[in-house]
Amino acid sequence: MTTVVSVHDLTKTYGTGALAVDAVRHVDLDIDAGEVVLVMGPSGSGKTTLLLMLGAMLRPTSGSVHVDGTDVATARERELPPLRARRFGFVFQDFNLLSALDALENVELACNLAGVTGRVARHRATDLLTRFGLGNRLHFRPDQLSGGEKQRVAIARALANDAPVILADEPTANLDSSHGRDIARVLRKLATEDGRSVVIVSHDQRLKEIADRVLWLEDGQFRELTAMATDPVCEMAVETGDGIHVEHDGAVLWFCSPYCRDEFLAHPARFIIDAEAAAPATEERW
Amino acid sequence: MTWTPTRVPDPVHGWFPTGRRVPLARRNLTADRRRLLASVIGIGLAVMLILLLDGMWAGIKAQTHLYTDNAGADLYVLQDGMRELYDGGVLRLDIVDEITAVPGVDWAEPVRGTYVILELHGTKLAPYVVGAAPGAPGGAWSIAQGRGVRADDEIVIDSILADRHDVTVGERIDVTGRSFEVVGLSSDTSGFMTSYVFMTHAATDRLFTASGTTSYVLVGASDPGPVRDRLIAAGFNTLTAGDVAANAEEVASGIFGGPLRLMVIVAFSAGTLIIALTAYTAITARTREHGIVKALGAGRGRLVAMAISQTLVLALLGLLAGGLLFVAGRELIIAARPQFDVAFTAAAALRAAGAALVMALLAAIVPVLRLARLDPASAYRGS
Amino acid sequence: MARRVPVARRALFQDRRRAALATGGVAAALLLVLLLDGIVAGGMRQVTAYLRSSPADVIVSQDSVRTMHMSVSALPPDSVDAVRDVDGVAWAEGLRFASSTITTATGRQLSYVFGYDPAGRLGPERLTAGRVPRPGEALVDEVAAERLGVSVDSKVQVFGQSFVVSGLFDDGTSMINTTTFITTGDYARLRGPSVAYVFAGAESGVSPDVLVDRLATALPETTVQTRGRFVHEEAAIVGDMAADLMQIMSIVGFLIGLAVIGLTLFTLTLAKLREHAVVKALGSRNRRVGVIVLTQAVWSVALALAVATVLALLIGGLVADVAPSLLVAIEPASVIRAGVGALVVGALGSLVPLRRVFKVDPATAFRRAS
Repeated sequence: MTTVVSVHDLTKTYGTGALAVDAVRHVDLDIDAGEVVLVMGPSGSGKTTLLLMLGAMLRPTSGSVHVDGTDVATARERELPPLRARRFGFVFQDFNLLSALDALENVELACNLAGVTGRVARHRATDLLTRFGLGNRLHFRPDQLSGGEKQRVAIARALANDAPVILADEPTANLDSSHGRDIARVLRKLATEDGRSVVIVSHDQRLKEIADRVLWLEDGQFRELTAMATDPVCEMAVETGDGIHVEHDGAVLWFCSPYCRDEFLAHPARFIIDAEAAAPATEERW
Repeated sequence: MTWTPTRVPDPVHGWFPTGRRVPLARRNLTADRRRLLASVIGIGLAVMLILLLDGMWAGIKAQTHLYTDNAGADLYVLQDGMRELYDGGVLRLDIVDEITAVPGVDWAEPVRGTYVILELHGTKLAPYVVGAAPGAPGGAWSIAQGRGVRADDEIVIDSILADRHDVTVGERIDVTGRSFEVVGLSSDTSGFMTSYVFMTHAATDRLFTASGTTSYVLVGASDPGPVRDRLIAAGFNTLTAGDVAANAEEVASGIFGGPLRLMVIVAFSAGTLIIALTAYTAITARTREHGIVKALGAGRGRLVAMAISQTLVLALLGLLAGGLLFVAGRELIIAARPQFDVAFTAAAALRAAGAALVMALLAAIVPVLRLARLDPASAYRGS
Repeated sequence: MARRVPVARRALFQDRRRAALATGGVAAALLLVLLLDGIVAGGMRQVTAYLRSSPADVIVSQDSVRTMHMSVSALPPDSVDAVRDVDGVAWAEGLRFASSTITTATGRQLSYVFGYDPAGRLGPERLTAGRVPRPGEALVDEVAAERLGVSVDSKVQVFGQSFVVSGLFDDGTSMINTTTFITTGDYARLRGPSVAYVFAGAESGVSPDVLVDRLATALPETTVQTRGRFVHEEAAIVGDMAADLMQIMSIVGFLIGLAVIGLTLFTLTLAKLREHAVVKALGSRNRRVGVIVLTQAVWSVALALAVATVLALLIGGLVADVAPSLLVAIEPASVIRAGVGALVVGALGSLVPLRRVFKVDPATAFRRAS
């Protein structure tokens, strides 16, 4: 497998002096072509920061991100736009659709920036949106779309430039389970059939199914995924070990916080206990 | 959902497509109509301000030579040392014959011109009285109502002055103790500093107890250049109509020009500042969008081009609005003060357009260059 | 009263750049208004500077002459004594006056030429150089001197006669004229014995109005006015001419300035519309949302007014340095007028975009666009 993105000793520090916060600390990561990498971790663990640095959207404080022989960390400013326009397709957490453009134009713009214009771009954008079930929403502006629809426009836009690397920040967050599964399948297919690399940052356990690798980022560093479980209340992935847990019906249940635990204990019957989630997870590094 | 990803044509190694692109600048501009309208009106008001004050100043300067523009003389013989007509001056009346005798002089007419204090229905005014022979050049050049003066107890007054003070044809008015009958109202005889009233030269002789003298002599000549030289050689202080006009403008500017020019400068500076702030506000309201476009891979050139086309269109719409507002404002001012002329000059239009376009460029370039230095992530989040 | 979250202030200042731009826009418009007003006020103040600084309470002139500008007044020389004899007059001095030009080899200046008694009360307020004139000498105001390129001991032509400049004084140039003083004796020699005006001071306890009545009775062939009235008449006749135009320019600037202020605050509210809808969604009444927006407008206008006033004063000072003949007088009344106008228009401009927030469901108003 060829390595498409190579990250070495990557660190991002926000602020300076006493207020300095390391969002990402000394991270190493290689992403191969055709691979789906899922990065999970608690809120504020640095997932989005890492993804932004991978996508040449944010300059690292130190370390390197090599893409196509270019080190994003040290590249000159004018080398970055072509990378963003042609090498990466980015799905933003809060969509970042352009409010002045309709759905079709939002996707078409990404084609334009990659050098495709005119009818070809329009056709491609229409095609992508139609495939994501938005054929009847082409000329709706973002403020006329639901959260899920905006999410799908954002994903279509990320695919518009036919980039070899897709970076997706919580791509299923606003989707119902059916649409979420569709997106997951598309992302998997992009890797398998087209040899693209897909890096997903998410809390969504369902995405584990399609990932080749699941990484756990906490406090800006990758941790060993020795024992992960799912909080039955909020369905977040949580660490086992010293974490908050209770025994219920002979199984150990893990929680993200005392609140989820207390909520569970108040009405255990409300929460369907997934046998897999309850059992101590095995090594998940595939 | 079945979907097979396809490769797009590679523009780097294959062909450069030149088809239609998403008109992002236009969309950004028109997405919020109210905001667009506010920006256009903002720039329009600033342009109107520049044009109106500039136009009033230009109108006044033009009015300082209202007389020379209309009297029809090619040359003026003035008292020695005098450079324009407001100075008045005293000449012997018999030099008119001497002037007429100079070769090339077609005609010569004495005219008395001076300020008088006039009380019209209780209001004190200082019109410029012109005394000229009935029917000869130098008198009222355009009669709107009634007729020109024939007798020495008749007066023609400016129609705007008459209108403002409810003076009508047939009425008698007092000029420094003498009674005159208003026989006509003249048009195009209202300056901003003063209006013109006309009577016979003989009437002014009596009014100022100054028979045998005149203020200046108007000269007609088909070839004024050599005639002027001959008149000067003959000892007459002779100026062309153009010189007298220029001197009048200079003197008028010297007297009240300071504050007026300062007001025009203030208006221009404030207008320019307002244009800059409006355009800058319009662009920075779109910072998030620009950040997103940058995140999607737009380079500095494209961002700058996008912002510039946005502010340029804004400036052009603003100029158009400013032009329309100027016309409306000018009508209002002229309706309120008919004696003022608000001129529209190419120079003023160029100045306003220049200010609008330069400020539009600056307003686009400054924030976009700032954006160019930022990570896209901070750009779209930061707003 | 318990503290509440100052939503308006926070909303305005959280986005510094936007706040600065809005306040800057309002300040630019106010600066325009203040400066134009200041130029007009300064011009008018200069025109009447001599009269306003005079110690006289009452001014007597020829019958039906009420001003200096554009006027010729002639009183018999014995009028001064006649005025002095009236009960309640503390002092009286004759002033000779004509509007003329003073010239040098290189230039000419329109000038009010006064013939006065250098030992009396009617000279310039203070000399900035030299001393009071003796026969054959003249006082010229600083700006005229600079324009003519003369200084103390130089020669100028007054009424066609050569005079030596004995001193300079300030505040003598206005938009319509400069000022020259010669001795009353020289004046009489060149222009005849009549005086133009008699300036008189009232004895303490005698009001100027009472004195005006007594003088009018005692000197029937004259016009008697208080100094205040004379100043008013003078300003009015100048105002009818050059200043009328300046007034119109100033009004144009005022109206356009106000419109710009309204638009700026309109845009500011528009930019924060979503926040206002959120506040409404949290259970706020329309009135509170309105109050928030109005408070924001008041803050912007107040800040902008302060900035504009300081800038206007600085620019006024700068103008005085660069062009001493120009006076930019930023008067408190003008600042108040501009401030009140800006508040009214700013309040309207701020409230107009809120109609949407007032009328529709909060959710419709704050739905994020992207």
